[in-house]
Amino acid sequence: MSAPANNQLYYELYRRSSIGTALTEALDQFISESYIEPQSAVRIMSHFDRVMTDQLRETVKARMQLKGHLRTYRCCDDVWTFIVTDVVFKMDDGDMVNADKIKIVACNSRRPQE
Amino acid sequence: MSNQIGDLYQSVIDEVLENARQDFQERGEDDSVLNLLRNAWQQRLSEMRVGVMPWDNAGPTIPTSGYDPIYGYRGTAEMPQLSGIPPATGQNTLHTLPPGNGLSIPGTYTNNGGLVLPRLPQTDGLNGDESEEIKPDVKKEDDSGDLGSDLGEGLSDAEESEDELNSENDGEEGGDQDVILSLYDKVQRVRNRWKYVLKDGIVNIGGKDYVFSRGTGESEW
Repeated sequence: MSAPANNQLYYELYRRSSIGTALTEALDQFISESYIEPQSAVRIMSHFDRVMTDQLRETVKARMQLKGHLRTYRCCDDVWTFIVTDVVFKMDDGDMVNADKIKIVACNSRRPQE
Repeated sequence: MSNQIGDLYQSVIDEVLENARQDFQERGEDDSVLNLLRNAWQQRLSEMRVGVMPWDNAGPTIPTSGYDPIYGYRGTAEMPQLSGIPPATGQNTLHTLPPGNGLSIPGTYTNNGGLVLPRLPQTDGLNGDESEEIKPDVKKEDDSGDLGSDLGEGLSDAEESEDELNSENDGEEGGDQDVILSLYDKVQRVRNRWKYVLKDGIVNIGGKDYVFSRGTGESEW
């Protein structure tokens, strides 16, 4: 993958996903056991922010539809948070997935370049 | 769907570690710790059971979680105790460097060519410790969250709202909550009807991960 423009910023949003959490926990362990320097870990996390964002954008094609009851909404610092209940997801391969409640955390796709 | 997740995660791990390797090499540092990090990262992800991961199949290219990512070098005799899973297959076997070959690197090679160093020089205080003593210590360190607190700064607002939103809801099950992490293109509201267009999302529903390029949502408030 090509390196991004140096001034491009990436959200830390995906760190809270399973793969991001797994990396964070592994790095925490490595820091606590002095296997890795904290600043190296910070660098690795920023690589993760960029790689995860780019890979999602470039390699994922799937579409998803979601319906449900919007229980709570909030927009704070350009981040939308929704709590949706009685959710039905429809994946584009026809799979339907139900959830009692889901939280959506979404950052602006047009990130202001500051 | 889950296979797609595994392939995506594999390529993310590969690319992140390749970038990190370049960092280490530019600074002239030993990058062998990244092989340990790969194992630890993959093993933790596997334990979350969010989908089928390519490295779980004991494929020929990646020696996986058949041994502790850090202490696995301690020898084959300890491996079953450490890992709690069946003894490694031939693909997971560690090859010890033959002694006295002129190359006195104190390490073991995994079959993908990675060098697993027995102990990095800056590590101290662990000599002679039993491996079972180490795990609880790690847990405690995790709670202190030295890295996590730094890394989480950018999301503090989102996390605050998470807490608030959770507190409004009864009987929340904490971290197991179903969640979508994504970008949004558009959020529209007409009276109580909401439409939102999401993109590049990671979804965790019922413990499984899904990803989407574009997601549309319709909800009534």
